[in-house]
Amino acid sequence: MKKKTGIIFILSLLFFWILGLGVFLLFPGKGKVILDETVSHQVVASGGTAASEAAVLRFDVVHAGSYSFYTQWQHEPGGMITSLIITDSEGNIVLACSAEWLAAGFAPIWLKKGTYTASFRPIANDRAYLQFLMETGTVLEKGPTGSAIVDFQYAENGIWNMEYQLQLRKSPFFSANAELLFGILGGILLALLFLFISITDTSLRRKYDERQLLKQRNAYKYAGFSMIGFTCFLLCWIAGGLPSFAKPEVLLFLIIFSWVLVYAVCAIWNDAYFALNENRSRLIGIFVTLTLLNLLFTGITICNGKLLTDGELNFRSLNLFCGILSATIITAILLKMQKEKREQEE
Amino acid sequence: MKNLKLKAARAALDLSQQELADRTGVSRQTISAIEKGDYNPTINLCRAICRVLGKTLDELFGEE
Repeated sequence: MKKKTGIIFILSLLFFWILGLGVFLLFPGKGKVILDETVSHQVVASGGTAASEAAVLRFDVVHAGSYSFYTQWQHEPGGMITSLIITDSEGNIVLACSAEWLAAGFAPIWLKKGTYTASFRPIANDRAYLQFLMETGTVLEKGPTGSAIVDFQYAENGIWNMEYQLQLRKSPFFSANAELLFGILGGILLALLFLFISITDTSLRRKYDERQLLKQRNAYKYAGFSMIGFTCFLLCWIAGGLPSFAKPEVLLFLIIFSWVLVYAVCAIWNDAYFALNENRSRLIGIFVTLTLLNLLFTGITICNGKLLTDGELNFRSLNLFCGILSATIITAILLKMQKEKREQEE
Repeated sequence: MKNLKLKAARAALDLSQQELADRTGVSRQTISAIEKGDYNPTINLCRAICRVLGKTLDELFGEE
């Protein structure tokens, strides 16, 4: 690779990462204010417990889209914990948090049109906190204080005058899925960059002979048929009312993966994948690295319990499929090399 | 149909498939496929192979 090409490549990567950073820095806290309410609430704490009634705020989301919440509360003296749970009209929790004092903005999330309820509930002891954790789906092996559950009292007995502020801002339409969009745009930019470099840098231009070009055409054809077949399979699955196993964006990627997989395997098996001037060892090394990295990220995602959303594979599962894809390509290459070695020995 | 004439001509010059492939600008697998009869080369490739092996088209690719 020429020095100039390398510089262009590194500068493009830097530009892309700065852009991504800018996206994440610019979005939070920006956008039109849809809701800005302050709720006053008097809490009576006695006998180590606080009244369980909550200060409730209801608001409507007129247009579905990306929104970000901002909330704050503080009080004197300290000790009383407040939990905030925001639910939609069906009772699904869209946001939950708890703190003694809080002033925080949250990353944009997608809200559908409808009425939402924000409940600010005082928590004065361990049991009440555990109930909050269970309601929000957080499971602890021990009590919140790390030991066996006891009625540990957070707040002193007395009357607490609480004031909660809740703000809702409309975010740019794609900010709720900025992470996914960033990944997709990044992939497209990288692909375009590689294309640009391969066109302009003749030392990198891949050369194929006539037989390889012919076999590649066949591989394109088979990959196209496979993609159509897989798409039809998914359509039948969806139309048949079978439970979805993946989010729509994952299914779309799987369609693309099916094309790439079939093309790569057909091309490899017919000796049309590697160019005449290509360093095979370097390419195999790149695929091995890709496999390991993707499987590592998948492992991290599984450990964090973020692979599934509502029982469906979310966009974080794409690392898993990329790892499977690159592992399959490596397997095809190795099997082909074994076959060639056997034929040469014969 | 196998191209034994090509194989013989290559062997006569003590060239491996890889060496012949490098000199004609194709992959080793393409030379192998031609010799096995799995691939019919274009006229340009035929002429390139003949040039390297010092044979005529008829000698290498003519019908027997």
